[in-house]
Amino acid sequence: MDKLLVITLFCVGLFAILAGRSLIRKIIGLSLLNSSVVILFILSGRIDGIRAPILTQTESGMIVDPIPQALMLTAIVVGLSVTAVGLILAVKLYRSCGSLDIREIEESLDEPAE
Amino acid sequence: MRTKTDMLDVASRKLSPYVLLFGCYLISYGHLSPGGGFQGGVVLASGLILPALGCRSERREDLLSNFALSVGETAGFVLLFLIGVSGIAATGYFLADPFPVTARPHAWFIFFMNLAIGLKVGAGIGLLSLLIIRESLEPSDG
Amino acid sequence: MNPQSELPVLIILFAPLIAAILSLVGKFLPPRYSITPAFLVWLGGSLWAIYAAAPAILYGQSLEYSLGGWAEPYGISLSINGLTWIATLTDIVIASAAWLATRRYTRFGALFYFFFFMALFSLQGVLCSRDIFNLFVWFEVLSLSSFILISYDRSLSSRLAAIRYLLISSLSITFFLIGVWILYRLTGSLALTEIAEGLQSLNSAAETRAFAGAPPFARVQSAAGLALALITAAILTRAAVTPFHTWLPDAHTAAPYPVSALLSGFVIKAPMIALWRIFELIEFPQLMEGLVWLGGVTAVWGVAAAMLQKDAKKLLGYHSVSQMGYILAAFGIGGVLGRSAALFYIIAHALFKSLLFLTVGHVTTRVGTRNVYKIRGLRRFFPFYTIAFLIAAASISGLPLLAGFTGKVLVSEALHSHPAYLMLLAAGVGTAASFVKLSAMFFGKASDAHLLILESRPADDRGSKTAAGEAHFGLLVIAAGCIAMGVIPHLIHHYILLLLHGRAALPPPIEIDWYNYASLLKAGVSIGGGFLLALFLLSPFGKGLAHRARTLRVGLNGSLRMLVSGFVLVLLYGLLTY
Repeated sequence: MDKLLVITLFCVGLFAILAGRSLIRKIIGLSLLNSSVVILFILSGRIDGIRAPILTQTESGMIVDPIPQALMLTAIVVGLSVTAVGLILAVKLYRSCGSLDIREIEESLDEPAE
Repeated sequence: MRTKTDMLDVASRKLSPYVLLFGCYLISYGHLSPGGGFQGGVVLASGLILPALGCRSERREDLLSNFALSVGETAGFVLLFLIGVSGIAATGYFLADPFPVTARPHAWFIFFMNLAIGLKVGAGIGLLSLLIIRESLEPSDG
Repeated sequence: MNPQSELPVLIILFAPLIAAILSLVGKFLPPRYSITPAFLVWLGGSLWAIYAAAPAILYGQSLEYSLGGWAEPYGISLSINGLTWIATLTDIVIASAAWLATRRYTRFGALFYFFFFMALFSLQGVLCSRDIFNLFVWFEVLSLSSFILISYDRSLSSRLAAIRYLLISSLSITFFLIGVWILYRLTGSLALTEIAEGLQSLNSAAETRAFAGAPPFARVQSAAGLALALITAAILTRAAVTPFHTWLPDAHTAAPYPVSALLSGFVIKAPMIALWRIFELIEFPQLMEGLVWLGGVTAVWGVAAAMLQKDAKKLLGYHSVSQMGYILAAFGIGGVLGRSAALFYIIAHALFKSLLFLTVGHVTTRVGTRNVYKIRGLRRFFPFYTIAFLIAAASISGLPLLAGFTGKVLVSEALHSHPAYLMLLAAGVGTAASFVKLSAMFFGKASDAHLLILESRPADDRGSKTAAGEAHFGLLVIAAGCIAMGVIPHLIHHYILLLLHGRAALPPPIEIDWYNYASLLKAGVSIGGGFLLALFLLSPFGKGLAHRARTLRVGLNGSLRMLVSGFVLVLLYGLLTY
């Protein structure tokens, strides 16, 4: 079930990036892809146990693997920065082209016929 | 988006201080409970953006100016670097804990790091969002 | 901390970081207090670190530094070995020349230099990192600063190029993360040495069924192959190898020209070196064989697209793609000769490609257009830049006594019995052709419109005489490097072998006949053929053909699809061959 979630998210994100024509949709797709990978890592951390990875003297038992959590915190921050830069670029493109459609933006840059 | 109702106006105005307070809590208790610099910083930033999004007042952007946020962000970056370097000064390794193991309470190092990260993230994300909001309010420059 | 071995690694990473911080603080200060001091801090720190690391490196040791004091199995370690050392030196030369050129180009604010030094900082991290997740972070910091540097001109085309690069590189880095996840699940570690050991012991355990519950051999094999293929393909995207190259020509065209020089000169080489550091630990011979073929395809594809271009900088951008093909093929063939040839070519290409971007970028900025067919007769106005350009163009086309020729001799020594070598030979002809086409900008008679533009501006309108002199000095150093690599290749090759293997484990000397009849003949044929091809390309029929071919360009969606299908192909290859 967990795997299904990850795969579904990944496919939806990939589809949005590949098939969408709007830049915003592509950036949302990118965030979805990023989240699917984050969930993949986090899920793999809890195969070993379910307790929070905090060492105490009284409790013992199987804790989750803390490394994927630490890694994914970094990946989330990186994903956020990429999304932010992407959105700013999209806003700027929209303001100079009046459109978010990637084909229209590309066509406005085409060289004139000779 | 241009029409802001009274409800939005009041809610964003009254909610913003509490969101900011919650952000500060997340940052300062990051070493004990879920939260920390990044999460707290994001909450701080949302407290800053809320009035800009919801308030009808023309002075809604005056909560913090671009310049102040920019200074905060730079200060966060520099502080984080200095905290990292303090590890080199104490033990020879970047980002190592400069406090002795016996220091009480244990987590001073994490606490200071969370403060620096919170400042950096809060000011950075706040600045970023405010820039986008202000840009979309201005007339198009063509 | 042991200052002898750890301080150089620390300084080599910190010099660009401190320079970046100085530039960031410089936002609030007058420019003269931040920009030049930041540069001097960076240059001084990096050169000192290079100098201090040299003795140990030449004896084949590598210098390690663990972040936070946690050694390798638990923490992240960064290290310099011979490969990183020479790459850093190249990086310093090119980045200094690019920095000097930015002083002349236009008045950039302190924030520009912040991103410039952040790019250098993350480049250094990519070169030094020994941890695969850490590598991901460095890659992302590098590309984030590149997006901003590329779109710094604030023009529509530069923003489109930046967002295109952003989408392609972020998509590929997602696949990289999945590869990291598989490796972490298989070996329980993120440090490269641990991963290599883990994969080896897993393989042997699965083969012999050493312990109960050992995973089936086939499953481990396919998972490891999949992970390595994912990581390789994602890194090749950063290195702009066909079919992952589609972001490069636009990005390097739209960036301000000093940034293009840095991007084409070094930023696309750093992923190659990261790939190298991964595969010097992990064995995967079939993938290497695949890389040779991919290198051949890249070389031909890049050149074919380059010949058709009208935009001078785009032509150079496609040549970066094609030259990465040479490097990849030499890297893939492996062995002592192949690896040293790859490193030699990396240095050579870094030098002449940054020289090309700096010269062509300067003159096209001054003329105000980048149309290869329209600009003529620049020789009169830029005598210095003409000579520097001709040195670089002759290098890349493979004229004897210059860096490109000796690099090609080494690559052909390493590859001559491999069928993919034919593709590299064909690419050589195309390279000569497009540089003859580009050289036409400097000769002939200048058109009236350009004469007006050039004569209406004083010679140094964008900066003082000293800025021009400094920019010239940077070009001079790079040109001297190109000539040195052509005139004393045996000495440089010897030092490369020394750096790669260390004095203790130096392989038996390889006799290479640098200037024999066969290689001279090859160079002559490819330059002659290139000249004829260029005449055809400059004829009205050739121009029309090129124009029609350019209208077939791949849009953003097309290039994303190309990327994903490339990934699928590499994945299948990795899955089936590991």
